[in-house]
Amino acid sequence: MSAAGRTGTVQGDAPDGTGTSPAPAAGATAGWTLAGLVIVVGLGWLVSLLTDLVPELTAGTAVGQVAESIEYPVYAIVLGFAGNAVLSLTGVRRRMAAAFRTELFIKVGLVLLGATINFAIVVRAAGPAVLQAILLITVVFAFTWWFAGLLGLDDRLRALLASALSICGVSAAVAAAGAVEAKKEQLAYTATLVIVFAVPSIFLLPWLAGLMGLPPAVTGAWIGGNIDTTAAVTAAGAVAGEQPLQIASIVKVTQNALLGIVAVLLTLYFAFRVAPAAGQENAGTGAGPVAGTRRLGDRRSLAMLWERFPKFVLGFLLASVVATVLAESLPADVLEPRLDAAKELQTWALTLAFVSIGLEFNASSIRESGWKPIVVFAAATLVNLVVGLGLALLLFRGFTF
Amino acid sequence: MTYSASMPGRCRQMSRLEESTVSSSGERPDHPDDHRRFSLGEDWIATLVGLLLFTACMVGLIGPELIP
Repeated sequence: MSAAGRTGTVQGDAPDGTGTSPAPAAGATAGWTLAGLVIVVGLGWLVSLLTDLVPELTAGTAVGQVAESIEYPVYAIVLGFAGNAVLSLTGVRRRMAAAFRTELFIKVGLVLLGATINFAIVVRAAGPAVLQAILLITVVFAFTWWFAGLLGLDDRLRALLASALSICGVSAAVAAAGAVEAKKEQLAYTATLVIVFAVPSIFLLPWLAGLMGLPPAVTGAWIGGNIDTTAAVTAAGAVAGEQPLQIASIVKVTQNALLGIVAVLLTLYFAFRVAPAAGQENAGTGAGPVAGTRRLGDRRSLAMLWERFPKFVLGFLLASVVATVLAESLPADVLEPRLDAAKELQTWALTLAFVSIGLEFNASSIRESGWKPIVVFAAATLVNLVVGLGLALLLFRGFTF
Repeated sequence: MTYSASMPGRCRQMSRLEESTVSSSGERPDHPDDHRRFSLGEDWIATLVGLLLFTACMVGLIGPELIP
């Protein structure tokens, strides 16, 4: 992993396609970034065209029904991968990488999504969402931590894998990496594993949910509690339908909001249990920071809670509250075109995000990780699927819109 | 990772530390823009942009006919 001359921020050294903001390559300039943005928007426009035209052109044919069921996230990700291949072959992908802002586009889209969700639904879904999140995070984190330990993985890598799987993918891995002072290489291949497993889930989970005949709310809760990245949850929710998307978003943002608490707990664990042992080893060599001074209730711990709280959730909630209040006070013929406009912009933001998922995908660093983290990830994903389905059925079976 | 030969020794040692670990100290390098103390994080930017667009829609500045 090259980081020539850089003093190595995690973002700066993360390989492209890890779901974090990709590191611009040497030679990346504002011009290349602008070119990358043009490509993202251009592909987004092509997605819009295909979503409208393909069902129209294939209506009444053998593939007409299949074409009808293909939602825009599918076109977006496929076109993103196609763009990735072309740009990689021409050697310019990394120069444009700064434009592939999956997380930024997703968060903008989720704020706008808040406008389409009645706040009463948010309130009713919040309770089961919080309960599901706490239980699922606990079970998946504990299993991953235990199984990774069984395979002899380093404590820091265990923390990264467990956080990424149980909470919210790459963001959780980044937060955990900071909390436990992980190696950047560990973060890089954790982030890559997240993306490699998340992308197929976008199509797999909605398909399985359809096969099992799950109600929309259960589908959404299962998707939101299972898929690791917010972007992939949104994509899968959009594939599954509007109601699953609403619940998936609520469940996912609830889970994301708990990230700060887990980050603080990890910091405390490593401060009290792991770092003192490491500090004794490093004493006298001057190497390695010793994190033995963190205490429960420490101001830095509280600051970390706020720092890790996903701020876009506030925007999501505010948009939902305002739209709900306006629904009570404005006539429908005045409000509906305005909500339609917000929904169109939301679709655009999410389309750009899904295109960026494909454009920034890069699984090359997974080869460096060896087989053990992959086995841990696969096993924990399976546990997440089963336990997540059970909890979703238990908590959301009777949910009505 | 390569380093400039002109870097002072202490900076070179610090860079070697940062090379391999993600620190949770004040120079935490684990978020975009996080190395600049007063920079607006991606979360806040997305929140502000999302709310601006939402507001523009709600006050009628952006209508569905304007969106391709």
